[in-house]
Amino acid sequence: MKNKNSAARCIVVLLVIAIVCVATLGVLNDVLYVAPDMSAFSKAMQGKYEEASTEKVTLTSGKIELVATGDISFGRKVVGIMALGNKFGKSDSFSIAVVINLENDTVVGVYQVKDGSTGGYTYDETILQSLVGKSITSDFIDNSNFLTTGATNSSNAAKLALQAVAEYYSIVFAK
Amino acid sequence: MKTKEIMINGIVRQNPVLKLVLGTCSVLALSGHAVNGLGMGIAVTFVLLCSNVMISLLRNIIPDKVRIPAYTMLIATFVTIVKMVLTYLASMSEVALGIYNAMGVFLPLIVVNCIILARAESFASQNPVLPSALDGIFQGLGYTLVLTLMGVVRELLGYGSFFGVKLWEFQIGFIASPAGAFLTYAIFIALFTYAIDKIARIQKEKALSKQSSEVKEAI
Repeated sequence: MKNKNSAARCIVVLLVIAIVCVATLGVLNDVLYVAPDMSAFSKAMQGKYEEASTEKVTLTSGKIELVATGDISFGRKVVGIMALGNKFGKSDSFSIAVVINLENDTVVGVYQVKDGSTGGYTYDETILQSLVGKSITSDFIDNSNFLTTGATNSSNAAKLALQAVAEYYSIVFAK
Repeated sequence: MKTKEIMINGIVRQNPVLKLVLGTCSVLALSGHAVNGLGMGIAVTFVLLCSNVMISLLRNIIPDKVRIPAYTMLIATFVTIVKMVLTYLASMSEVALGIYNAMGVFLPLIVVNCIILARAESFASQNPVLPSALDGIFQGLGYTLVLTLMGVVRELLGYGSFFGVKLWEFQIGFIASPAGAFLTYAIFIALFTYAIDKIARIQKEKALSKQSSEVKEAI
């Protein structure tokens, strides 16, 4: 009987502590919540962006960090996708924000958020700009050699980030 | 226990980094720059203070069998609060963003920092609130002082700067590397132990000479 009481007391104490901790963190989260930084999308393509919910999709090449919907010039509806590609070889992960026109699935802007190039090498960001005007669902997936630069690992790591964006867009947004 | 004794214990006699050799991972990883060391030190001090106070307050309520999960839950809550505050500050200040990025994985790992669990288990769970709070502050101060000092030395020699301000071009790259962190840490421990031994010897000699002069006077 005594053992049962002591076990029950242990459970009650742990439960109470857990509930108080969760409540405290819940209140603080409301007070200190910081909206995700949308500036990367504006740097890719000037416009007004709003955070959108990220669908739980399994991707082979990376993970989605942020999704936003927005309006750019001439009232065009776009979607912004920020993805962190998998690490490739000696190179670290790349994080890239891509803005895509929802009407024709073409890329309207690209911004490199994090350059994970192999040590001592910097990925040529201007090469990413060659993606603008291409269809994210066909052109990029069919032929991504235009993204290749001097360092193979860095090129492949950058491709993985873009591949993640293309995969996510194809699954969630493509018609 | 008197305040002075708690203070000396935290900073010198039971210094968590140099005497007890606890929390070594974060010390080695975050002492590359003084500002990172200071940031980590402040975060750990806050968690130490809050967890010590809470554990001391609940010491008669938490059953002995579940004390470790209960302590871990409380510590994890305070670490999450620190993370939330730092994220908030990082959105407003470049310096805070730099510290936040430098801390990386070591920030959530404060939960399993030996210093915090050790103080919870050995001090806060057996002492009233005020001494426990003081213990948290001074143990945290001891940790912060060492981490910041190591950061200053490694930044000066490894990067030629002081708290991010460039002073000279001369740099010893090795000191800024992980191996340099081990070397700096070893030198700090050696110097600290030497100084403590020297002080203890001087005090002993003084006490002995005082004793002998008293004996002589008595004779």
